[in-house]
Amino acid sequence: MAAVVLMAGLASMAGAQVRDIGDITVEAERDVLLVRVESPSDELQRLAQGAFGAHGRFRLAGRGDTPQFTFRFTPEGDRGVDLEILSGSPAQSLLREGFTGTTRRQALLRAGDRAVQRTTGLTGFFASRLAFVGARTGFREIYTSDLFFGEVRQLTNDRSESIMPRWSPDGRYLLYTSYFQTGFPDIFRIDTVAERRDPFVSLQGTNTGARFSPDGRRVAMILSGEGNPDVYVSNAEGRQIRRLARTPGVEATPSWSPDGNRLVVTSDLAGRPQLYLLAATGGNLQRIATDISGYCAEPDWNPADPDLIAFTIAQAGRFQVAVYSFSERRSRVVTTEAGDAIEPHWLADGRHLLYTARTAASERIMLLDTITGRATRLSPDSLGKCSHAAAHFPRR
Amino acid sequence: MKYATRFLPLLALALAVVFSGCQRRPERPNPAQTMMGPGSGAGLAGQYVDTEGLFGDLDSELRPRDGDMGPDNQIRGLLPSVFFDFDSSAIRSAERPKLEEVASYLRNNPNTRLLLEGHCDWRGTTEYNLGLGDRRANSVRSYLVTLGVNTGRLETLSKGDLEAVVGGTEEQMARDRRVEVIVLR
Repeated sequence: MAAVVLMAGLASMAGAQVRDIGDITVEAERDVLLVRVESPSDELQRLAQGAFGAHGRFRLAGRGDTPQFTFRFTPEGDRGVDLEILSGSPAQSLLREGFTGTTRRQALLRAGDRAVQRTTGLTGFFASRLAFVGARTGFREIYTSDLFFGEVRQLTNDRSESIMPRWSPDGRYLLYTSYFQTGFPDIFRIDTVAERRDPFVSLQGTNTGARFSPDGRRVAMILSGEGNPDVYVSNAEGRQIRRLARTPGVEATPSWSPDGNRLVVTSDLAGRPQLYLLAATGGNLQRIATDISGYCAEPDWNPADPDLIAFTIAQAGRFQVAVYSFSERRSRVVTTEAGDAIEPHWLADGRHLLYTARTAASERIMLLDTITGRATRLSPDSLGKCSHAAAHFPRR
Repeated sequence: MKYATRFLPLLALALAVVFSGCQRRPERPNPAQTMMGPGSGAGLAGQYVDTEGLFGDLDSELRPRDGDMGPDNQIRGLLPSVFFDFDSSAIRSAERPKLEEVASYLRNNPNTRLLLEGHCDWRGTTEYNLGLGDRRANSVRSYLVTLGVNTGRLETLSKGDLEAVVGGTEEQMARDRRVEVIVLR
């Protein structure tokens, strides 16, 4: 549709703060670093404590503790933060570095990522940008924010059920599914720089599950226009659409391997939904022996570690997130939600992931360390039901 | 929205023209036109998605959407919904008389078209449920075709679990696993 739909009044909301960082489970792990976080700014102090408190490699030092490291974050102008890392007694300065961002919050999160990288060797993820589905208006709409739900923006205001946003690798575009305009499920693309939105794929049937390849040049998606939901790949503009496999089953949620050569998809080819591998050039579906549940869905291939795929399983009448390892040829459950844990999405370090904690009354976006099991709530109650989180980590 | 509703039939016509050149199979009648009548605003037709290069596979049976599904022209509740077992899209034998009733309604109302809208209960995952709702709707369509209904009179749509009652009882969940049979004016 040529009609360019400008997103009317990008609703900007006051930076929601992390109010409740939830229960923190500290596992006895030698790898955990005891750290103190300091800032003369209350806002930065709270944000940094929330961030490091959620990270599975760190534990915040209490009053009587002697921290291994102290991270000092000092505001510098409107959009800058200086990081100083101190260690030992008397304290020795190990590093001083300045960071800037579009906001001071963003500068702090970048400085935090540097502290993580410098003290653990892990890639940071605090500065990730989130896209998610929020339902505070009574309709599912697409939102963006930083990882800790500051700088929340409502991108769509369509009142027509918008779901499953996914970033392009450069963080400029979002693809998502919506019933906007036609009343049928179509794939739309938001250009977050130009602030415009266009139909991406609008064919007869169900159009959904769009996801950019790691190089950003192809898009995998699910289309049902030739009979039932199958996996297709197009170019970055939603053209040159080609079916990868025709099956009698329902396929869903394709996710690319980090090298872009393969896809993992959900399919009920053999009865109930299970995970399958498929070459990105097409061919047969190959079952992955996850061997954990009769219902395996929503696979997300770890972008930093091709050995791991996170997915959703049914277990004892509920849903949990599990991780499959190709090298170990087995799966393990990584969440312990009392309700459902669904919609896993890896973060840049390949260790933490986002998921949705769902009950009959609520949907909340959570941060999980898959090694220690530490789970931290991210989305604030003030935003109502939040789900379908996807993160983009800016590489600079 | 209104803009799109007004111009889509015409745009669809333009697309049909573009496509007739490369399509091997005969063009199906365009339901959007009979449903919504002719549009206007010829000058805009050329701005619709240029279909050249849309498909990498020339044998593709995919077609651009040729209409929208506004709530205004839908009659719900006139014909019965078809219910399904958990995670299933098979037509239960108990539901078959309903589909015979639907087929008979279509014989008596030769100008009417139907929208078959697939739904799932809230348990499960969003996109798999979207696919399951799609297959349920197509399962009803196939059954109606075996009863002699022309496929051109049947439109399908999946709502997945998006309208399901969250936290519903077993009974409510059973009511959510359905295909609604909606009469299109």
